[in-house]
Amino acid sequence: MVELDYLEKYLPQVEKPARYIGGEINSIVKKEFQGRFIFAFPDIYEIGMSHLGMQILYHALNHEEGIFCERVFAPAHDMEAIMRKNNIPLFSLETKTPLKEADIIGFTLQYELSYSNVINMLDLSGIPVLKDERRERDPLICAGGPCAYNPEPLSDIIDFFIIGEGESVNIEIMRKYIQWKNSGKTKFEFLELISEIKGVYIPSFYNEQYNLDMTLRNMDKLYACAPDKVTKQIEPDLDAAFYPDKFIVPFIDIVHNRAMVEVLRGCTRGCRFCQAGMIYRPVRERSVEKIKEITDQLIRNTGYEEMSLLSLSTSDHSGIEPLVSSLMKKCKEESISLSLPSLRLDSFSFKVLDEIQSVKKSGLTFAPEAGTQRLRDVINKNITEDDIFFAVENAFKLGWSNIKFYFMIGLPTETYEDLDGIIDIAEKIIHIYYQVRDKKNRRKLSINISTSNFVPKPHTAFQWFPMDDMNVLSEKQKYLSERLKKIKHVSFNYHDVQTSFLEAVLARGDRRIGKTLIKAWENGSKFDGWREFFDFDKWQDAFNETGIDPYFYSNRKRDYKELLPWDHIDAGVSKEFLISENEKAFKEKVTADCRKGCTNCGINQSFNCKVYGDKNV
Amino acid sequence: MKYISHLDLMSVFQRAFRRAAVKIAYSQGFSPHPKLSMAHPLSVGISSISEYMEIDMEEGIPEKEIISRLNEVLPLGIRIMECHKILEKKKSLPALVAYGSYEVSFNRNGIQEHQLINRISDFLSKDRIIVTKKQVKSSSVKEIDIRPLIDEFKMIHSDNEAFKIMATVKTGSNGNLNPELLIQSFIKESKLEIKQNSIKIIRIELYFLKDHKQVPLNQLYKV
Ligand code: SF4
Repeated sequence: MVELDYLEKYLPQVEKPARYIGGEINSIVKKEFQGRFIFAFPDIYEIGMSHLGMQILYHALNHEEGIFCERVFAPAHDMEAIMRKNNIPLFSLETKTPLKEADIIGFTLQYELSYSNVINMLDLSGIPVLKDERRERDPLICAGGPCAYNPEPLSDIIDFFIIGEGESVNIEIMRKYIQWKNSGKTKFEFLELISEIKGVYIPSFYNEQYNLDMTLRNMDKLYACAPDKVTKQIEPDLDAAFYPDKFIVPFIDIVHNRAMVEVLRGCTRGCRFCQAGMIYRPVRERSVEKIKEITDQLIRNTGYEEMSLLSLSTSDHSGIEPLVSSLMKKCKEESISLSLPSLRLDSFSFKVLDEIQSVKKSGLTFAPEAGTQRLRDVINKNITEDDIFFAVENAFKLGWSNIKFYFMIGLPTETYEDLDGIIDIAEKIIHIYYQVRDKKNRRKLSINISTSNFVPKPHTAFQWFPMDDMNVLSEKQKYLSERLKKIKHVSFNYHDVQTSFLEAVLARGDRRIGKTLIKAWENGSKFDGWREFFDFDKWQDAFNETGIDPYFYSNRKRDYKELLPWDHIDAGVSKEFLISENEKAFKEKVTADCRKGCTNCGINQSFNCKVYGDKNV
Repeated sequence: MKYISHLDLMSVFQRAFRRAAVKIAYSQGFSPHPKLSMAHPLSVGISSISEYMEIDMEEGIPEKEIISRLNEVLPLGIRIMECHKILEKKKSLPALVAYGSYEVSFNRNGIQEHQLINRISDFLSKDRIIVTKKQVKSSSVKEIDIRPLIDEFKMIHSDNEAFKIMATVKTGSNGNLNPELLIQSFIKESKLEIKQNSIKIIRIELYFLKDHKQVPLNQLYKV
C-alpha cells in the first residue's frame, strides 16, 4: 500500500490533489473480498469520473459479495513526474493499492486517442506492457468499451477484451477468476475458462495471416475453445439490469457534475457514420417507473444539484413526455436542475426547455452534421433545413441568442457545395433572427459553428470508406474559415486534422500497428486527445521506425471482399445490411428510422429486438 | 479535506444538506443559489478544527437532529460539532470575522530551539515586513507590509521531531493575511532551513471583536 501520509508530502505540490485521494461520498472500501478488480480510465480524474459507464460498472461489481472494485485514472503530468521521481507506483484511489497487486485491471476504451495512456498507466504501475512479457503473478489486463469493437491494435497488450455491455459479464468473469485463483492452475487455463463466456475475446487464441497486398487473409483459431466469431454481450432487459442507486460524488468540479439516468440504450435512426448507433443495438428502454425510482434514489444518495437523462436520443423514449413532466416537478421540489442533453428540438422539447432552462438560457445545440440535404441523405441524418429553421425560430422567440452547430467535414461524396451549405445555414439563421427580434430585443446573437473531421469507424456503413487526405481537410477548413469569419455574429472552430488522422489509423488498425503504439509511447506520446500534449511528430517517427504506412489504414478504400481486422467481432448488425447502407448512401437514398418498420439490420438474428417484435408479431 | 478548495467545499456541503434532507433556502431570481456562507474561506492545504457556517433554513429542524443527520452523510474529515439557531440576526459571519489563529508545525531539521525563538523575535521586531504578492487579475506584482497584520507569532511547542508555532493574524474584509504567506515570509527573513514539505498548518480559531477584544466566533450565538 502507498501510505497516504507518504503521499501527503507530495500532494501539496500538484494541481488538484483531490484527484488522487479517493474517499469520496459513495466510494467503497472493502476489507474482505476474494477478488480485486481495478477499473482503469485512461484519462484524468475529471473526465473519467464524468463517465456513466464507470459509475455503473463500479457499483455493479461492488454490489457483489467477495468482489472489490477500485478505481484508477491517468495521473496528470505534474503527478506523474513526482511518481516517477520518487518511485511511487500507480495506485488505486480506494485503498492506495499498487496496481501490480490487483487481480484484474480493466481499462475502458472510450476513444482511440487514449491508447497511449493505457500503455503509460501500465508502465507507471511497473507492469510489463506486453502481455507476453507478463508473468504468472502479474495481474490480468482486460479492456472493454466502444473501441474494443476493433480490439486488434491493443492485442499485444491486453490479455482479454470484453465486447459489449459489462454489467453482468464482468461479474461472471470475476466469479470464474475467484474459482481459478484457488485452483493453482495457469493463466492460460483461466483464459480457456472464460473463452466460453459470450463477449470475451482472447487475442492470443488467434493468429493472423496477411496477403501480399498487406490486407488480412485469415484469422486462424489456435485453440478449439476459441469461438469463430465473438458475439457481443448485452443486457437484454434494462429494468432487470443493474443500475446503481448511488454515484460516487467527487470533491472537486469534474466535467459533468451531475447524477445520470440512462433512459434508453441503442438508437433506431441509423445514421451511417455513427458507430454507437450500430453497436448498441437492439434498442432497449428503461421503463418510466424504473427511471423515476432511480432518480429518487440518486437525488437522495448523491445530493447532486443536477439530474440528467442520458441516451443516444432521449426523445425516442416512448414515455418521454409524461416522464419529463413528472421529473420536472420532482426536481423543482428538490431545487435541482434537470438536463436533457440529447433531446430533439421539436415542439414538445421547447415547452420543456423553456421551463427547465428559464434561468439559464445557455446555448442550444444542433447537429445537422452536413450542410446540404443531399449530403444529409448520404449520411442518413434525418433532419431537414425546415426542422432546423423551425427550431431556431422557436428558440429566438423564447429568448435564446446563443446557438451552436455541429458539422462534419470530409464525409463521403462531400463537395464544396456542401460546405457552402454550412455557410448558407448560418446566413439564413441570422436572417431569421432579424425577423423574429425587433431592434430593441436584438441582444447579442452568437452562432457558433464547429466542424469535426469525419473518421470512418468499424461496424458502420462507412467502414470501407477512405478518410479525406489531411491537406484536403485543411483546405476545407480554410475555405470555411475564410468565409465564416466575414459573417457578423458567427464564430467558427474546427478539430485538429492530425489528431483525426491518428484516430482514423487507430480506429481501423490491425495487429501490426501494436508495435507503433508502443514506439509512439516510447517516443513520449501520451494524452494524445489533449491539444496541448499531442505531438504528431512523435507518431510520425513511430510509424517510420516500425515500418508502418498509416495511410494504408486511414486513407485506403477497402473492398467489400476484404477481410476486415474486426470481422471476427460480431456486433450483431449484419455485414449485408452495412453494405446495402453503404450502397444506398452513394445513391443518396435514405433509410427510414426503423421504428416505422424494420429495415433488416440483422440484430434480431442474434438478439431479441423489441422494436422488430412490436411491429411484426 | 484540506485539498479541497473553498468553492468545492461549498458544493460538498450543499450536496450533504440534500442527502440529509435538511432543506436550505434558495435565493430568488435569475440563478437561484443556496443561502449558505462560510465565515472565512480556508486555503487549499490548510486543515481546520473550527469552521463556521451560516445557513438559511427552509423549515425548522431541531439543532441536535441537524447535527446527527448531517454527520451521517458528510464525508470523512468533516464533522459538525455545534449548531445554534440564530434568534436575532446580527452582522453576517464573513463581516464579523476579524482574526484567525493558526498552528504551524514543521520538522526540526537541525534547527535549535533558541535559534528559532531568536529569529522569531528578530522577525517581529521589524517595523515593516514586505512581501510581494502576485495579483490574480493583472499578473503584476504588489508589495505589501504584513507586519501590521500579525497579532501573534510565537513558538508554542518543541520536541525531538518538530516545532509548533501559533500565529494569530488579521482575517476578513478589514485586513487579511494568509498564514501560508506569513510562514514563507518568515522562512525568507529568518533564513532558517525549514523543510517546505514538512510544513503543516491548522486553523485553530476565528475571532470577532467585542470591545476591542478577540472573542471566538462560537461565543457569538451562545446564550
Ligand atoms: S432488427 Fe429491424 S427493428 Fe430491430 S433494430 Fe434492426 S432494423 Fe430496427
